[in-house]
Amino acid sequence: MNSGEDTLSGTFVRTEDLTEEQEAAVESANESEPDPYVGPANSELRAGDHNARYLYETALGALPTGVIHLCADGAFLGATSAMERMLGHPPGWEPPEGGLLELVHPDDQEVGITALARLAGDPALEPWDSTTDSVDLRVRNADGDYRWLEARGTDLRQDPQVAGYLVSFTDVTSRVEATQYRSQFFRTAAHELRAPVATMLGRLDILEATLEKVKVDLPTTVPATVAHLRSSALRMQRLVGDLMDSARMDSGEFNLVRRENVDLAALITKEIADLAVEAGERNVTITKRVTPGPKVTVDSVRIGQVIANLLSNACRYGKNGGAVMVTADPTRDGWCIRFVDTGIGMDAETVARLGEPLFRAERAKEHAVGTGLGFAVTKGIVEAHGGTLTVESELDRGTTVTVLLPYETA
Amino acid sequence: MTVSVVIADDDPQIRDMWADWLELLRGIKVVGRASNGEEAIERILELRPTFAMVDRSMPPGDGITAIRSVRAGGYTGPCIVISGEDGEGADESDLADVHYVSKASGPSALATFLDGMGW
Repeated sequence: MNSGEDTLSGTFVRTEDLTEEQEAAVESANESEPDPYVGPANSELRAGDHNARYLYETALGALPTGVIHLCADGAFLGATSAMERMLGHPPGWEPPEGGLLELVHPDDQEVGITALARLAGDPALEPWDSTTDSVDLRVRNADGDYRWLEARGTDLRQDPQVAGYLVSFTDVTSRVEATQYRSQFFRTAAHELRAPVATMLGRLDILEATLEKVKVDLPTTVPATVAHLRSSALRMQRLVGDLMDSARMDSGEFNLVRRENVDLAALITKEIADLAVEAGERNVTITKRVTPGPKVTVDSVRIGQVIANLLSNACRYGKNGGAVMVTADPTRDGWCIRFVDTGIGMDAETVARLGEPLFRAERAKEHAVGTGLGFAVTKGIVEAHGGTLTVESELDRGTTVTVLLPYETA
Repeated sequence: MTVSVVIADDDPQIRDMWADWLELLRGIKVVGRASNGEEAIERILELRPTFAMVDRSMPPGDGITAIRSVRAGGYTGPCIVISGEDGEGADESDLADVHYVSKASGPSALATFLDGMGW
């Protein structure tokens, strides 16, 4: 039986039957009713105590989260039984001679090393916040398979009972795989939809050119129908682009591929023209005011997507008969592009959640169709250009989205 | 001079759309069509069009391999790679006069390229 002088490290390797300990702990817990809380605030309970040991061994061992105890120099001291189970090892397991890092997938070792350096307070790195920070790593189990584990760490070097770090691990393989599956599905769907969308747009070009050539008096419904078909095809093209970009951002593969000198005024004019039918359907008037200024070096397709998405949002969440104003002004820090609508607006809570993929506010769902992908993608594109996107909104008054785009993007 | 093109894409819907679009809207003569990489190499080397348009992925074979082969066979015309994903293959910088057009842009990116060439 361990003595009361044990450090916490000793309790992490289960080597004995704890029934007596448990009984003692239950008794002790009963005596100290009503709150058997173990923590720094309760100096009565320390790691060496029976009650505390019961909690660490039985309660921590029963949780799906495993804990590893590292000493101040990062060497392995012990693991909870949950950690051993998670990796498929028998009680009393010890990591390979090369250390825990050997179990981490080669592609994730850098992530692990950086996280540990942050936890250790490396002044060159951002300090680790044990309440919010975590990293996902692939860790090899006893069968040689990699599992995705979410690691969180606490620096307890100053606590004499720990004199090191506690790192908790939760198996998040199913979450990571679900995200990967979602990305793959979005990507495949988007990839397959691109050809028919491109075909529709090309055929519409041909149809319009043909109609212009025949020079007969066609009923107005014919050109109007072509315009509506084009509007729908363009909308589908935007959705497919958002799906693809969302998948790429999810998997960290989003890159800007083109760098062109772009005339913003011309780009805004084109995107407004593409949105004309959609705005007309909602009886929304779009006006623009662009101050002359320098060209920007951007990915024109992507910035076009940003303008189209924000314009489309402003129209869709506008009120019938509302107005959308687009302004672009060259400032010291870059182009400042504003999209001001007089639509349904959002409360502060909704504004705060806007970047979450697939998030749509209840009011938004009632008001218009949408995927909840566009905004996250739009923000991602602006940020990939080294710019910022900010939203100010008031319920029932409208929304102003401001994009600040540097002249020479990162 | 009549501008001519060979178009290679395994999806007949999009291949025929490109062909009609180029002929009807740009007056470009479509001298050959191919539905896979091997056919593309054959047609381009045989017909020597002003430029070639190849889909990035069209088994058996792919657009990039086809371009490498026709370059090795002495074809020097501009080659346009039609890619399904934006930015796909943008790293093949060893190949001269290769341009990428994403299906995502529809015909507008192709139009920009043709405008630049004066076609």
